[in-house]
Amino acid sequence: MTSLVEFFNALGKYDFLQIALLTAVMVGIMSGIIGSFIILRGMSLMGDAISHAVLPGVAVAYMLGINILIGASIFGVLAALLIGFVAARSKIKTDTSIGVVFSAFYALGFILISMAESSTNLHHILFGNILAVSDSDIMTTAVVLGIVILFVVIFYKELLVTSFDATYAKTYGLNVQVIHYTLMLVLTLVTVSALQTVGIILVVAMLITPAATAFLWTDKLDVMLVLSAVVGVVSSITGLYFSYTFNWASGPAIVIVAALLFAISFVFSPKQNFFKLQRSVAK
Amino acid sequence: MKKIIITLVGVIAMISGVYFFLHSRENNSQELADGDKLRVVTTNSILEDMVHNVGKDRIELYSIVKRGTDPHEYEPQPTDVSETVEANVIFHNGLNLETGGNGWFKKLVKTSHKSFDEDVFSASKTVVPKHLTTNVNEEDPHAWLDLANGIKYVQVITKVLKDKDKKNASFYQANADKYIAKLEKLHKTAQSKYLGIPESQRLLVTSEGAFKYFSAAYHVTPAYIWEINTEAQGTPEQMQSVLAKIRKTDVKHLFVESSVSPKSMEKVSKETGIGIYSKIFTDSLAKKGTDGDAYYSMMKWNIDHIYDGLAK
Repeated sequence: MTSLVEFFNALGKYDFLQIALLTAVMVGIMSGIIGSFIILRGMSLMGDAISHAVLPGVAVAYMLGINILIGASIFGVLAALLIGFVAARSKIKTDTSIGVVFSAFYALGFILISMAESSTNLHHILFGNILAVSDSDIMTTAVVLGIVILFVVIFYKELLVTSFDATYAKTYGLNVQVIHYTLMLVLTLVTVSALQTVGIILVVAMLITPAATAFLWTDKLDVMLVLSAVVGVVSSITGLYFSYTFNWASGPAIVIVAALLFAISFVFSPKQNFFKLQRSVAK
Repeated sequence: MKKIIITLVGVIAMISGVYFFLHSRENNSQELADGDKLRVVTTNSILEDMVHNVGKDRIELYSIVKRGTDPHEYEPQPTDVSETVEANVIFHNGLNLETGGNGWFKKLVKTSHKSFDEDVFSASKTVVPKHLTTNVNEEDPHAWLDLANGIKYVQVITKVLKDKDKKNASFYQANADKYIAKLEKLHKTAQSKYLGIPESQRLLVTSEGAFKYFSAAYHVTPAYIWEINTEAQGTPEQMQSVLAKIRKTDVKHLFVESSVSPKSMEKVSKETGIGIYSKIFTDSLAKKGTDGDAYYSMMKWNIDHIYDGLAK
């Protein structure tokens, strides 16, 4: 209990902790929301793929002297388009297509970086630490969170229908492709902005784990979105508390808490029915 | 439509809320209160040991990068940041050691609202820098491996401590004088030590090219696989060039640094049939209680082991 009091004291005293908390909460909300759509569409590893595929964009942006966020976003969207294109135009499924495209992009990024001959290590420019988030990165995160919320509110019905039944959506007259690629664009924005603030493990985990946890509890999309954001926020706050108290690296601490919440839901959620399943297996 | 407008208003309110939060913060510079010890933070164990030799028990000392860890690239933990926020003085090596790579130190200074030359000081300020050969615009950070530079570090540290904590100024100066005399003695013996070894044997082969300053001061020729830890390590081209250099000489032994993976050097050893003599220290001191756990003993270890390895 004393450690809890200490944590709140430190929160009042150190603004690096306040900033870390604010950032973690914003990232928790936006990746919880976008993550829900991603896992419903069976594209859980898309976030992982995009976070690696942006590397050539970083190198090109560095060489041309433009904002890294712009370069990274262009290559992120390009990778998402290519993954979709390969999966749609061949017998290859999405998971394989993700594997081929993102590793190729990542490799291209490595070669471009060695050509850029930069003194700072470009691989690391992208991979932020939540304890050292710059003011401009927070503003970017806030704007992206705003875009995510607006996007989901405006296109809620379309996203709902296309996530659950693409064929029905087509007969209903919706342009499934346009919605898919807009979602990919928003996902790229979320991934790239979160990479800079919280680092790669946290991005991938925050996109998948809270949404997966929420999915264990509900079948309704609106409930799932809210629950997923809440799980993201709770993991962020609790993880940061553990990180401060035990001096753990902050990103991994948040990931572990999210995974614990998932494990608890896995066992106790009535929808998941873990105990009943065990019993029937035993019989 | 109404829902969208409400959301839009909410989103704008949130973004401006974040904006005002960021701009309402104050800067916190730590003033030294009476009776309080000066709080000093150093980036690595070598600087920590130097500061400890000057400040002894009259300062509170914290070192960020732990012993045995590579200081080029590091992710600060919560304690590192809170100690930096609370510190009166922060010493870093400078010469691109902490600011190259992922630039973690620059971010740390910014996050803790400190400023360079006000409360953050580079220990290498008075050192004449050497530059990398692959990128001539960039400075080689490993200046402390020449004891003459180490002495300059100690002088800079002493001056800063005296300025920041005037009531203990004479104490710091007396400690520094004694410490510098000890380092100077080691420096003098090292300067002539290697001249007895035939020149064709005086090639110091390491993984990272950290020994430029050392080599210039103590008359050996440096050879390395990669030049600095932040760049690609062990590419075919790098391997070829180090092998070519070794084959031109009669070098007896290779060396591997304590904070670098020995894999690449083992490969070189296999290719050439020349054994690895021992580990030597570059970026970090040994664990407390073992040989090489202070700047002086680490330099002595390096000087003795490199001598033995090259002579035998």
